[in-house]
Amino acid sequence: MEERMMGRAEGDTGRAWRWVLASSALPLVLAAALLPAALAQPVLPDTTDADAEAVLENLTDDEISGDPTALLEQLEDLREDPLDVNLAPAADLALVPAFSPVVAEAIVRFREAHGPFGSIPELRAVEGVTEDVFVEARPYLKIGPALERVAAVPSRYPRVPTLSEVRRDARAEVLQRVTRRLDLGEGFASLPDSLTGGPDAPTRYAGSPERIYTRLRASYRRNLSANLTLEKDPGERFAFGGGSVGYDFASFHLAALRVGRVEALVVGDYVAEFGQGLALWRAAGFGKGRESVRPLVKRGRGLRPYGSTDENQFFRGAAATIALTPALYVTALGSRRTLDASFNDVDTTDVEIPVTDATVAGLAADGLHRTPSEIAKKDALGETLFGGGIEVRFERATLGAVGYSARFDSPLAPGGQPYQRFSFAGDQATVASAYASAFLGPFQLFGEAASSGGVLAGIGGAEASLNRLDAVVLARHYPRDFVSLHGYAFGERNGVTQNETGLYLGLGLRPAQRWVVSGYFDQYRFPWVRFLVPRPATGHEALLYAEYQPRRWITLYAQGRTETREASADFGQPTGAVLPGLVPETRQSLRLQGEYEANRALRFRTRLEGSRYRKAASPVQTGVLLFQDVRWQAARALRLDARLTFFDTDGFAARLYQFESDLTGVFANTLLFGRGTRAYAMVTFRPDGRFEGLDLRAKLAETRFEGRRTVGSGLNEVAGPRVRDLSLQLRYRF
Amino acid sequence: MPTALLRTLLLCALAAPVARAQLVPLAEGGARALALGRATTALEGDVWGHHNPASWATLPGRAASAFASQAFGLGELRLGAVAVAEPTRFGTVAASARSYGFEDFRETRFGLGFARAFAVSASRRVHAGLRLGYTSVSIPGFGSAGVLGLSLGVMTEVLPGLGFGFHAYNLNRPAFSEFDPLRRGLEVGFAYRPAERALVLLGIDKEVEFPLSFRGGLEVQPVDVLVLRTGFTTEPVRFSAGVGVQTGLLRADVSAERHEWIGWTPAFGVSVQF
Repeated sequence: MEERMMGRAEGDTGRAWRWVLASSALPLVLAAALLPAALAQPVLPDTTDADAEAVLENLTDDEISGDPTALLEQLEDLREDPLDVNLAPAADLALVPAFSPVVAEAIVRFREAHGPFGSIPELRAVEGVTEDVFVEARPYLKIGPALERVAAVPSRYPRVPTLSEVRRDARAEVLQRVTRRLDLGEGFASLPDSLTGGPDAPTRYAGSPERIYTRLRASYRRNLSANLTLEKDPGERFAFGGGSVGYDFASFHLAALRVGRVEALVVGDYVAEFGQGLALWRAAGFGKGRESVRPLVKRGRGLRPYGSTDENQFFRGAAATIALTPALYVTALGSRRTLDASFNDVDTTDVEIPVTDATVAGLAADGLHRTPSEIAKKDALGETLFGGGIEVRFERATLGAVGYSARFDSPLAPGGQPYQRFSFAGDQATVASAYASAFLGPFQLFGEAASSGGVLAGIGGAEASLNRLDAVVLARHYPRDFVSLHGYAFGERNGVTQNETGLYLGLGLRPAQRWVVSGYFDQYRFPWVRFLVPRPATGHEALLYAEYQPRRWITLYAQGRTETREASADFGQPTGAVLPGLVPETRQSLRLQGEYEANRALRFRTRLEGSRYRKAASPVQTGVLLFQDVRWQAARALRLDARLTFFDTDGFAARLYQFESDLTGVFANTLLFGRGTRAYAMVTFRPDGRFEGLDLRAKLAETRFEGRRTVGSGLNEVAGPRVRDLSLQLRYRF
Repeated sequence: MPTALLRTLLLCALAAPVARAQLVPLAEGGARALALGRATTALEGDVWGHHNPASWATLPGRAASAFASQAFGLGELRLGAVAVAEPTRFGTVAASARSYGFEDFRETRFGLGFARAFAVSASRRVHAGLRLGYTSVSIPGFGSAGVLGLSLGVMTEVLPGLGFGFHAYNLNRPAFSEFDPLRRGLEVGFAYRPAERALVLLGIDKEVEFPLSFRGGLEVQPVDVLVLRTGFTTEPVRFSAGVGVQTGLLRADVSAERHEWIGWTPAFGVSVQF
């Protein structure tokens, strides 16, 4: 009842809302009018304000898979707690978006050969650290006060901090985030009394429309951390008691990293990244994107504590990597956790066939528990996993092996459709892999081979990192019957390490100062049918990107992309039968973007993008997107972000995406199709002085479609042509 | 065609849903802008500020202009407008009024605007402007209605000789009814001065209900008193040309725009800057 009344109230205030939204861009003019020459003062304290939005846009494909928030958090952590150029290991340095593994390795070798860096700009002496690379990497780097101590006491292992050091330098963080859609779908509507609880009652969500996220974290540098993450998705119940902590999902860990001989020790939730991700990798990874070389050369960081909100892709238990010698590392991991799963019906009425145990029809990966059927799937299947690994690190090479054995409480029995033919079945999975990488001057060779149930899969490549050229060649082969439950290797379907073979070539060029040109070509084949693709299929994709910086404060780029692949189509036969077959479909896009920093406090960004989709003889679909974006650091502590986007596409196939500024740790890659506008405004308040460490953010966004009476489908169908989202976040570090 | 029949047809086409009146964008914004293919989002010193209210902040002094156009030569689509802009200590204040239509369908708009410049560095400035427009439609026998629209523009010189501007118009979604919104969109434009006496303009305009439109314009000044202009638009395809004559503070502009299908639209205006 309450919600229905709200619906009416919203209708009444619709007009008022327009003004609120229109005024989202107003502060720019009004506040400025009231503050004479406010913009003239240099107010931005941080000269190298790395823009997570831009970095991610460089690194990712539009249609990202996996859980990108983990990557976003990683980048944001890196920005807020930069790496010490004299202490960071090569694996950490390779996380910096500008550094390739070759460059990361070169930095470590340089400081081993020449002693610690005296200042950050000295990094430019390292081969591969060009001016551009340096500028891009600068926000993620620092030089620590521990420099002399490190130099004075060379140790074979990372130093163990003393208790007083930990007490002095420990940091804590509290993060509270609430996001809510203001235009609610039918799933949130209340039912009339006559229907409530009845057998014919329509499905409703169990809980409120807010997404509530709480994170508590304490850490000492990058070495020790304790974390508790709690989350409730929209529509999920928030209720205490009965074993519930209120939130639907909770994740906890205690971790020590690089403390003496302990390379990693985690109790609680963790992920494992080894080799190229064939056997073990967190469910997130950069795929094809404008950065066409560096993200593709993976460098496993071993065991990492986990505190993100993907509710299914992590391990729960304990794991450790210990250095037996400075060159030899052994890893052991154990995990026992529950997964969301649906079960096949057990037919107890048939007396001829004995009643069998329940089998699992499928795993649910979205982590949503809103409706009775979703709640029934929650934690329905247990998985026990043991694994281990060994890694030898030579000066210029790394060799390793890793493996695990997983057992499910009930066997998985996917359906009998052809595309399910090679899906994982049974209750036991064992995967073992061996990986290696070697540096030869500016070149790196890397590869991994894995076996699951006797089926071999492999990925291997070579990278060159020269001053004006980065290049990578990468070959992958994942047979149709290869099963990798916890891997996440590179591919067209990034992360689906099965049923794919492909070759990838990526180039990054700096042909002249202020110019960057990059591109890739990828050819792939799926040797077995897939969901909705009734035949083995092939495809290829290419991207070309050119960026020009006529001045330091002006950046222009053009990016073109084309992908052709085989998609399903029905072929009518003279006999009247219909045969499923394949026809090529092509999707292309061209983007032009300009960015202008009027000064340190004011930035304009404009984008025009067109898309085109063609499938066999069907009509061509086209789309266009135009946005204007303004960022204004209105005061030292206050930043405003606003964007107005117009989009117009013939259909879903010509869809377009845009990355957006959002709350820290929120990955906002908005999908737009149809015709309409999207507008958002975000306020960031980060005071210094007495309230240093406080970070408040609020974002209001609206997408409005023209000529539509509803948005969304199913229980999320919203009556009316628009959806609005409000997000609030408070973070405090101390 | 008998005038009565023409009027009835026009009334059906234009007034029935008021939005239809706006299917063909009006020939407004000054004869100079029309001659330049309406690509004037980054054009400095425009008293009309129709394609970017921030332009008011770039006016060197007080300015006023009067302007008339007759779309496709039809008297029923005649438009007359006046505009004034007055720089003050705080910024430039602008006002405008225009009337369009005939006795059976009249659309009137009053505009009030404010723009000012901000120094963002020793040599660079960003101009921002805001316009409130009150549009009213009156149809005898049906009554009249009015809505208030808010538009916002920014303009700056990103490099010496290269200007950039954007203009989001009717941001607050003014509409006479659910089916009769005012045109709402986003314009982005560039102005490049390759030589002292030449100006090249480029622009794009995305209106929410219409396809993306590209625009271009060229202005040259062969002698001090004479300015020649030409321009084009796509969606719809239009070609335009015009002449400006200026002596002292006074300037007179003539333009003609040819729509791909419907034909010629003449426009005339006088401006004074003092």
